[in-house]
Amino acid sequence: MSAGRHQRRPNVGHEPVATLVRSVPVRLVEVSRGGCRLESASRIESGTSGQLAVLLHGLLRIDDVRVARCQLRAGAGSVYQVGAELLRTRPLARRTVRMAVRKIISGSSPDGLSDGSASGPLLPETRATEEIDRSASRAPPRGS
Amino acid sequence: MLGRRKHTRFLLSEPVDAHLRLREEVSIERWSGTEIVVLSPEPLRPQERVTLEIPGDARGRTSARVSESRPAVAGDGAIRHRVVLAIESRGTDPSRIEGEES
Repeated sequence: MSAGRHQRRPNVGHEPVATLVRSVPVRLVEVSRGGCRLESASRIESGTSGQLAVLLHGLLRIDDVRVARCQLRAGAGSVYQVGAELLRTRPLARRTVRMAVRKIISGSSPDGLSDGSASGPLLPETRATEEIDRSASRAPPRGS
Repeated sequence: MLGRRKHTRFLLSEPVDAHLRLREEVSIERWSGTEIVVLSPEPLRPQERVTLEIPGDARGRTSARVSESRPAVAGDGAIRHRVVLAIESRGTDPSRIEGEES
């Protein structure tokens, strides 16, 4: 993986450099305290870093992530499974994905509300999935 | 892979739509009034909307749309992708960037 990261550095010796920012639609499929599994319609290079933004319970949650792996899901067309590490680059606050994950795992609403009054998607139910059957079919992310 | 994972994983009963904002360092090859040509480590899809951020300049954000993306060999011999971006809205004077970098 480290070799891949080295290959990603552009030639910055003579030409002006800039940062290209692009937004890739993904689906959040699985979470843990340290990271998450996403599904994407396009390949994302391992080692790539970026921001994961997800709307949960009416709040936009954002956290920095680093892509640890990306592989085509067998038998699912052009759906890539992306393993992303949640980086602790910002304080654990209400609008972070990490806080939402903690709430999801503990079974409460991500912002401490339990009356369902907030707009937006409600918290998805979860189950521990070390032994999950991964062959269940899913559509690729919307907007791809 | 045994023992690689530290935390128990939880599968969401319904996957949730999200967006991943990815940042790539690119070299600017050419910048005209209507388009920018950059060398990117990754290919981009035609018609994809992107933002180009200029380091050290808060106003240096340019919104663009990918009009072409082709493999190319960079000066150091590495395989890159020459991406032509059609400028949609610009927030900075490109001459300032060249001045800063040279």
